[in-house]
Amino acid sequence: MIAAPDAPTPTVPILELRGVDAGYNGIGAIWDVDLAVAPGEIFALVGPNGAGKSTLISVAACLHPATSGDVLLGGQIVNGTAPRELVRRGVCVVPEGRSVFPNLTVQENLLLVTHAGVSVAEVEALAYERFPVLGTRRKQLAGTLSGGEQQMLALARSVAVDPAVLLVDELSMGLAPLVVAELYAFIAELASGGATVILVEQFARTVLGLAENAAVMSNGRIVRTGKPADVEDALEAAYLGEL
Amino acid sequence: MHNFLIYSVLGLSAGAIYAVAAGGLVLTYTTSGIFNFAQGAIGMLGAFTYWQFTYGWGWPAPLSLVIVLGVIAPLFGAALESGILRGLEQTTEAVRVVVTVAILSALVGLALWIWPPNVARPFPAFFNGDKFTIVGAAVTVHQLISMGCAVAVAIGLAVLLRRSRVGTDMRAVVDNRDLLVIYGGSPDRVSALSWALGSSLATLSGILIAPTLQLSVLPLTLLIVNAYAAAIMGRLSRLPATFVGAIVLGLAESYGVGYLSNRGDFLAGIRPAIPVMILFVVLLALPHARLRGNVGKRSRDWFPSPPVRRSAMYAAAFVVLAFVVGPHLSVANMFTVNRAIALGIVALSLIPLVGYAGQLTLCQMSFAGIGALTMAYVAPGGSPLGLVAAFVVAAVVGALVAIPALRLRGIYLALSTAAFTIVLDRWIFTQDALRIFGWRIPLFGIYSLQVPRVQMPGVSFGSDRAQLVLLSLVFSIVALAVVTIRRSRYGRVLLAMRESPAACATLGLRLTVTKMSVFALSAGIAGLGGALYGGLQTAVPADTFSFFQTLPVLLLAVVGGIGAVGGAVAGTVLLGLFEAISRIWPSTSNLIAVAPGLAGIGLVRNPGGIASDLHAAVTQFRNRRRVSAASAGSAGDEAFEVPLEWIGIDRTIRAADIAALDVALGRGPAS
Ligand SMILES: Nc1ncnc2c1ncn2[C@@H]1O[C@H](COP(=O)(O)OP(=O)(O)OP(=O)(O)O)[C@@H](O)[C@H]1O
Ligand SMILES: [Mg+2]
Repeated sequence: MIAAPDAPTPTVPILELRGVDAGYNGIGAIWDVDLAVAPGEIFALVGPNGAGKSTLISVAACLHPATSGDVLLGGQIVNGTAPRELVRRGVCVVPEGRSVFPNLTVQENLLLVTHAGVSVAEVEALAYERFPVLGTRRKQLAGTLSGGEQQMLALARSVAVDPAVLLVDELSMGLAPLVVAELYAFIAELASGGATVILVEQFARTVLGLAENAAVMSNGRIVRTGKPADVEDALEAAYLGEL
Repeated sequence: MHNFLIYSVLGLSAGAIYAVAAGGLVLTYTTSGIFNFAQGAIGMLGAFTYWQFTYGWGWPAPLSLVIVLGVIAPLFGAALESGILRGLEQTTEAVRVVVTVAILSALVGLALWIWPPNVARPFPAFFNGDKFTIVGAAVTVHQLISMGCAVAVAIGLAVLLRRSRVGTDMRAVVDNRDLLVIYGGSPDRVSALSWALGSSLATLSGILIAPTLQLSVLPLTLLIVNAYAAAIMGRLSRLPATFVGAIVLGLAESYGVGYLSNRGDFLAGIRPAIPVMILFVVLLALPHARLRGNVGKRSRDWFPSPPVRRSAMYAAAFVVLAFVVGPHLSVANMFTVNRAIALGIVALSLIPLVGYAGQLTLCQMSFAGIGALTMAYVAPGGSPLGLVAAFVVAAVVGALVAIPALRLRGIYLALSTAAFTIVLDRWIFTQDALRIFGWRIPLFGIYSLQVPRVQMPGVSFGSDRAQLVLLSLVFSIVALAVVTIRRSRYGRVLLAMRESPAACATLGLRLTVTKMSVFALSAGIAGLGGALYGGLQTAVPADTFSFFQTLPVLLLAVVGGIGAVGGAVAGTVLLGLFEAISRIWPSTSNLIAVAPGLAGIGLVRNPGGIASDLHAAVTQFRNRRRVSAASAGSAGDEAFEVPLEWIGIDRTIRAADIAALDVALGRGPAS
């Protein structure tokens, strides 16, 4: 590829949403969302229940169609692309709630990671190295793992793709603080290795401490974007229903 | 001992074939949640296709095997999945069962069309039935091949599902279809693949079994009941148990036939009933919780509750119309109309049971048959008491059938009722007579049974025209009764039971009594319809009331709209129309035979049926007129017409119903 000689120095956002609207069955859920995430950063998306965070994640990963606006991956418009394509290009979504296959073993769950275009040996080696506890439970059904172990298994998907764009929805839901800290340590490590991470959380303190940039959502719109310290007042207002 | 060996070999090879078919059934069920009632029909069609290539066109057998098993069958299965079954994802289990039953019905019609049954089609075993002897028992090469296929399929499926990524995908789809998309898999492709495989396995079993059964449509299609029983033994998910079940079935059937068929009595004809009875026993013996199946889909059906007065006016108009039009109908047309109305009464019987109560059954024509038998036995002179007796006897049998069925729902209920009807029509009905405590109750036998037409002192309903009046009168009365049920407390309880049995139980409703009573009521109505239908035909052969005769009535009633009396009327009209068309233009008769199946498949698009469509169209038309009259030019008003269903609110039970239910339960209106 030939780089344009006078390319602007600011890097192209790895993931970008431009004026995105989306909804369910003709009823809107998010409106006019603009968002740009730079490569390698940790980005926090916070806001109260029903703000539209999960919807935004789905749209960004092309799992749910945008009714208008564009989704860009590395500067390329990708709306309407099959999710499979995005997975191959490193987009890795860890959705809300259970994100492993409960009736498959740990090993079989990892086998499915190979849809991203990596070999099974590689996936297993990386996953077991990073999360040794998974290595001791290869033949166990994923549904019988503890909540924390399940999230590890879900996150293990991201170690195999490089560089990854990791979209994590409510990672900490129902987990003990110690486990959450371990998972976030892993995420920080991934990011320092070059991955881009978008974290969605209800309880914003932890992620805002971790993130380089943040956005606050309320009632289907992004009401503030900026450094974590700068969005806290907007976040408070959103939770109090003032926005 | 020698016989025992022979029977064992026969049983093992038959069991092997059932295992192949059942393996396909379990595969498709676990990967799509759809129980394929058409699996046997696919196998039958596959066997015919193979015959066509090998014997019809003289292709070498190995080549046709490759083409049929490797190309045609998988393509057919994949097309079925992507063209029809994929649309079933959001529907209720009842719609799923009806659609696969519709596919069964359409495929049977299609096969009879392409390969007319009046031509002999020899279907020799592989290697011309060459045989050799192992420890004193003769074994044919064909039998060995069958067993080899079963072993290969067992191992192949195990390796596929446990070792390969595609197989893991197949299991992942069941676990969480959306998550597989997130992982980068494509569930659609996986489903199509598993149906392709399932279709190939069905075809293989059809080809293997055809030499022992001869190439004939209905027996081949029904043979799959064996595979159903095996699959149920594997609880629809465990392949090893399924394979063991299939072998046990094959052996049981073989010993049963071997040791019973020489007897001169009732048990001699038991062969076709053995697997069905095993299926029945297995359904009942398995612990209930395991038989949950996929439930919990939101229903999209429609249960209008029309005012009785208006319904009574329609009913009266219908009888008057019959009276007036009667004299102007030709003999043939009159017979078509009469037949349709008589079957329409059977269709009406489905509405409280399948529609309101959501209990899917496939045995309604059996109850009709019992009604006809009762009429013939009780009132050979045509006394109207015969009709009463037909209702009562059928209702009692219905209640008895309901007892084992009480714990079952969805596909399991459908299967057990199919088992019941097949036992009746393949074994009992074709006997000469039933002897109980010295009484001799004549049955249809292999030819036919005389069923009288109703005679009353002073009034004879012997003529076809009088039959028309009688039938329309009975139809109207039954229709009114069904409308009344819908509006009663009982009707609301039925709907509530359909929506959530668990909620009903917690409300303190007595589900057992309710279920049995609705079965009895429905069976009674069907029995009444059957008695009249029998009288119409006068000489009635046993297959008038067979499993395959139930299908068009059920399908057209559901297509009409099983939740409403109007649906049964629409179904009746369709029945009559189809028959009239095929009589007037005989060249269309094959197409007409496929039509109910095709119409049933159309339910994928519109699970509510014709009646609900018509109703929606009329309502929309009225609203539009009202809107344009009220505010000419303000098009924005239409925005208010978003049906509640679109935004996820279920209107099946309306607020008034709920309030009435509360009152009925003595809890007073909810505050
Ligand atoms: N599958 C769906 N069908 C219809 N509406 C939906 C669906 N999913 C979400 N919504 C609606 O879209 C809006 C945004 O929901 P979303 O799940 O994106 O919010 P959220 O910010 O993730 O909330 P939470 O923090 O509770 O997870 C809500 O009003 C919700 O009711
Ligand atoms: Mg959410």
